[in-house]
Amino acid sequence: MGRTRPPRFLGWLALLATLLVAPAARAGRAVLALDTDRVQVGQTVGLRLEVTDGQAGGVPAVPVPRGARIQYVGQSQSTMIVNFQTTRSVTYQYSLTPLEPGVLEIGPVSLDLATGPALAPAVSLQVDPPEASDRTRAEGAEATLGPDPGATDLWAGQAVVYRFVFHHRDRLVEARWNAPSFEGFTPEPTAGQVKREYSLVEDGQPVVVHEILVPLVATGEGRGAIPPASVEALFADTGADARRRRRPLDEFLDLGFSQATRQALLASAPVTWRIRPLPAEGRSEAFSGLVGRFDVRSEVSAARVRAGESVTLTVHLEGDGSLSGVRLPPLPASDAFRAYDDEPEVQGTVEQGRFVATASLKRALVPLREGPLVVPPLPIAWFDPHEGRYVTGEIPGATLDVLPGEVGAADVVSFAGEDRPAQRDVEALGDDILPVHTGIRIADRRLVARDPVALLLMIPPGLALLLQVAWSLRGRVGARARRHRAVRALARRLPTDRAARLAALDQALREAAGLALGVPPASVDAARLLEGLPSDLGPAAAGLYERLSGARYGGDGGPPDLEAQVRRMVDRLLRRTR
Amino acid sequence: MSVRRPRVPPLLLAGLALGLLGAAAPQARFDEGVAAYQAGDAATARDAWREVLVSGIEDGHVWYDLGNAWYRLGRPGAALHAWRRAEVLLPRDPDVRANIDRVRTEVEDRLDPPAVVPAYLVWQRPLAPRESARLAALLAGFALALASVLVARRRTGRTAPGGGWAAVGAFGILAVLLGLSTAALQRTLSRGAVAVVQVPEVTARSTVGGDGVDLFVLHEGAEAAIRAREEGHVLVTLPDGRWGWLPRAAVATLDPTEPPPGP
Repeated sequence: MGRTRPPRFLGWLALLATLLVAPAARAGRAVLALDTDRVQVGQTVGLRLEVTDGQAGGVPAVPVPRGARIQYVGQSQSTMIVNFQTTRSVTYQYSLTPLEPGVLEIGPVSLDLATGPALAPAVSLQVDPPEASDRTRAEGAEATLGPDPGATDLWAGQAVVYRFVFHHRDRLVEARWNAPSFEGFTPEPTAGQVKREYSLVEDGQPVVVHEILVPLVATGEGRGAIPPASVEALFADTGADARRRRRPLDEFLDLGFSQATRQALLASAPVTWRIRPLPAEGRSEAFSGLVGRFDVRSEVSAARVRAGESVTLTVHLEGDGSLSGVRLPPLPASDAFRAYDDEPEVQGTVEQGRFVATASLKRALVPLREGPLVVPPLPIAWFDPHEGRYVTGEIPGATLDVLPGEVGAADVVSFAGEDRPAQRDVEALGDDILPVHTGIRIADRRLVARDPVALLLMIPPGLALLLQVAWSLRGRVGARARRHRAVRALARRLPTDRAARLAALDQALREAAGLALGVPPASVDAARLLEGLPSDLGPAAAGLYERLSGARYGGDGGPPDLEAQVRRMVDRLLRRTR
Repeated sequence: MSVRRPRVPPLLLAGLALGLLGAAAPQARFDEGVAAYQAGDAATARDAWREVLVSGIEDGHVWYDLGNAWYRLGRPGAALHAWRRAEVLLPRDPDVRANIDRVRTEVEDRLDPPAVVPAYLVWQRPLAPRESARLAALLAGFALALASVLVARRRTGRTAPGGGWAAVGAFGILAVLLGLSTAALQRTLSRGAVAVVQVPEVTARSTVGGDGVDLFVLHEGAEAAIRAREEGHVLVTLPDGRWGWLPRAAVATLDPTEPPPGP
């Protein structure tokens, strides 16, 4: 039985409805973002106000302090559909030019959207004095390290960001970054390298800035340096010489095939560092191995639960240190509940040039008896590198109201209310080499000069070729010998008739001379014999040929021993050809 | 009707029997080693497999198994050396490759291992020297056989197929090039140009005599290229260009004629 397909226009209608209705159903959001968080006085940096799921009436005003000038540049829109949810964004673009050094607070921006009010939080911009940067040159590169640029005095385990920046004024055609070796550091496992590109306006000219941010964790000790990083860049050459080199046809077509380029190597200076080991003083048992500054909060999925059923305690950790491998501290043993920990979800990222990590740690709690259940708070300590001391935080506890239930009936296999698969990755318990080779017929497999297999591959075809060549040569020699015998027989077994005898002698002489000269017998004559044969034989053979011709066609019969002379000459000629 | 059996000379029979016995003894020792290893006696297995190799059987599988025994006995340097010897004879064996990669993670020194087969003979890497030689022989044999057919056709007056002699030339040239390349590979291998440190720690010095200075320290399993040999020492170079003299007894090389290191 065939299925009936719904009319196609229904699908389009549903999509249109999604586009029109869905954005209106959600509250709008607004975010302020700067192209970079650090500029110099007089440089112009891009500022974006992104409004999602809402529309402001006119261009929103962004409040800036007195030490800066802001100008509206334009706006753009985008629409995305993810899981049948439509998100429409409007981005307002501004250019911001700080006029004084210091830290600028831009925003916050309050918006009255059609879907309700929205607030874009303020952002800050570090403004350096003009001489602090190297961007006065056409292009250049610099590298910094640390939680804050220039802060290279670190503690073991501290998360830092290696920042490589290069800028240029000419158009970049191609660039290849040569990363340095990060001796004394390991890559942060939860976050990858970040690349950004933005433009600044400096002295009325645009400068393009590329940033490469590499999150790292300090693992070394003592002092050291990250060697210089570099970029091999290919720029479009816009100089007068380059323009002169372009042919008029190139200018006319402007296809870019003959574009003049120049290469440049932009290298940073090495970045020195000092890594100190964590102090033993002040280290408590609650120290979790974390290094950074963290915030801790927690939540429980339900305040009321039946005995034997589970609730989820979720602990959120957020901070500027690495959270890779973090675990919840164990709860004290209790016969009032059981606890099961899930695999932590850890994410790292680089925001505004700084490393930020978040971890979500879940613990399923299964009360075993009714009544109030107090989950005690847990201390968790970390080392704060900014203050240089250990800090002890607290994972808040919770009080649950446990209702009567069937104790032990609920085995925790998944977390209630969560759409998570029950399957987990197979845990590796160890690693080992691969097993030995067994059941092998061993043999000496080294290369020897007289390898029988190699010889067997070559000798039979080699012998076959030799035999073929020998056979071929033998055939050629045999044919020549047979011809010799035939010529000799022709000269000896003469017919009785005189004319026929002379004709047979003439043929024998021609055959023998033809063999000696390597020419057909019919082309033999006295002149060819004289020229072609050696001097000890040529004149005699030519003379004899003349006499034989005279005897045959002149009718004088020739000398009496003409036959014997011809036979001797035939023998001499054949001996020459052997 | 009686059939006369061909008579085999008694001496030939005796020679065959001795040959079979000679081949059976290393096989039996190899199998004993396997049994001992699987029973957890790595030391007995190592001795059995060493005997097989010392007896002149240069087999990649035996070297591989010997590497496993050394590894079980806590000698990563000797294991790495054995596996690298196996790699020459079994260049496409994934087990050998995996174990080499595995043990290198346990070596203390972080060094890029030197290649046994130089870069200019890169096409030789998937082939053992004997395989390479046999491939060259096969190509040569094919060229000779083809030439033989072409000569036969010419003798009998038939025309040769188009491009026949060109094919003979092409196969011949390939055979010669591969043969020369194999000879170059064998020469490189026979120099044993890679050293694997066999002792827990060894100091490289600037001279062979006593007036040198300590340059750097290598640990068991470190691999370095050998540049020269002199008076019980080898001159090794590291990938970063540093060089130093090491005592010959502290390293094992990949020279095919070198016996496996002892316990």
